[in-house]
Amino acid sequence: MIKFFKLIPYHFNNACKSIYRNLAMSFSSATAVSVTLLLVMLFLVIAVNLSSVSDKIEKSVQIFVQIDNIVSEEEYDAIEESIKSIENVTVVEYSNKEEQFDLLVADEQAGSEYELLREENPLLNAFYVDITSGEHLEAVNAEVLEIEGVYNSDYGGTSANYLMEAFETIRLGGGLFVVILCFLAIFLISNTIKITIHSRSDEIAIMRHVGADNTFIKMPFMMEGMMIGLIGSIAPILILVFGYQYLYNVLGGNFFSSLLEMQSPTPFVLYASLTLLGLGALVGMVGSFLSVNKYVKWKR
Amino acid sequence: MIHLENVSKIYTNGVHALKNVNIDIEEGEFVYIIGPTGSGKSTFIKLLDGEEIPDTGTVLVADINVGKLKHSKVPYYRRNIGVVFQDFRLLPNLTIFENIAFALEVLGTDRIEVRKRVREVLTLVQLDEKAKAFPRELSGGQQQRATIGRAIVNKPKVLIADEPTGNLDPAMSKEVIDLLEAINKEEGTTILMVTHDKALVDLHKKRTIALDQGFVVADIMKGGYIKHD
Repeated sequence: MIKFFKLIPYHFNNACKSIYRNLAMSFSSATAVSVTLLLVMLFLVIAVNLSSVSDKIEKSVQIFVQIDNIVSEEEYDAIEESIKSIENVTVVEYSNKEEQFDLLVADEQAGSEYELLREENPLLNAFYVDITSGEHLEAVNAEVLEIEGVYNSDYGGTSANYLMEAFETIRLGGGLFVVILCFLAIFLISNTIKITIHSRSDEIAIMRHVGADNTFIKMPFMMEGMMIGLIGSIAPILILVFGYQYLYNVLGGNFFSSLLEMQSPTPFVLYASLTLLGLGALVGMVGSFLSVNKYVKWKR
Repeated sequence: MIHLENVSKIYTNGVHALKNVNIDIEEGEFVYIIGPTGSGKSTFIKLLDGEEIPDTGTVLVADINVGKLKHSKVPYYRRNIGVVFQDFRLLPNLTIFENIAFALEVLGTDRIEVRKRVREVLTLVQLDEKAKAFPRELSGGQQQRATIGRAIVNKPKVLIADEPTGNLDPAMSKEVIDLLEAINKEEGTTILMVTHDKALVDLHKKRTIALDQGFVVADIMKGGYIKHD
């Protein structure tokens, strides 16, 4: 084990030399990593931003509960309590029918025309119910409807559900896509390193002849793969750092509409860069490990 | 040092490479192995360096039963023996110094120790001035001397040379054989040299083992190339 650590600088040195002496091959491997990581980076940006948007929308989803006119003022507290006791309900806010009318007048384009009706306000007193996450909308809504004195309860119906499902699908699909891309990157790197190793299989044979064990043979290749991965991650990281900042500034932090708010660059770019760097190193190492392993299978 | 007892080897394609071979070689000996193509010389070497396993019989090198070694132990075993090939097999991307140092680095030898020993060996094989050159910049004789340097740098007990002069002209061959003799004398290394070179064997007389069609047909202490029908 001590020998293993003692040899790390030696292997590092060798890997550097090998990258330099096989410059064309190293460059092509690094480019393969760059291209793949660029795709991963793009998807990372999209997925993280979409995820934050959908989080925001989910949080803003409310159930609108109207209370029957015949319910007396004293019973409101009881109704509020019963709504609060439902699972996944976070905040219940009361809004009387005058407030509702004000909202109607303010909201509708022709709202002022309703002003004439203020005296005989046909609207109902209501509760706004916030819940923990969009997926519970339907269940909570059904329970609210069961409560006595509730005239109607609404949450935007199936359209809200569809939106939630769509976001969920995009998030899942995005994650899956990133994983697939990583495998693709590993495959690309292991293939390029396979070519490197193939062109150096004579070297491996000689190493074996002078008594090098498998760890000794593998180490420089794996370090080389890792360094190629790191080098390959530089370009996508630079593009991310400058590109995202630029995009954020140009779009003013919103993507086309204020609904699609972009992640602030400060922590996001740092985390994403570190992710790409780590992914590059990991993918490079795994890729070269896989291909070098095939070449150094025990035989005499 | 080397002990072969009733060793036979048949390849999967049916070629009967060695037949019931018995050989004993003492420590510090210098032995030629001669014989025509297909006589089993290469198989003999492959058995010694652990590349092949005998079908029957035992191969003992420095008290290690080579045929019974686990695959994963073979690299460690090979550190006891140096092998010199006809086609040199130097690492093309390493300098002569690095090539020789490589056999020590494999063992995890201390860097200062590596430098010291490689300098010694470079002097022994007379390549001090070529330390920073790459193999392709050297003549055949120089490359072969570098290979010998690599083979002896970790002071192996046995040095196996597989036709080390096969690709060289007589002058260069003499360089190589002189070097091998020096190593045999100065370092006390047991040397086995497989060769075709009649002139060389006649000139530098040593114990000579002749193989033909898998059999040991002669083993003479006085040496000289043996002719047989």
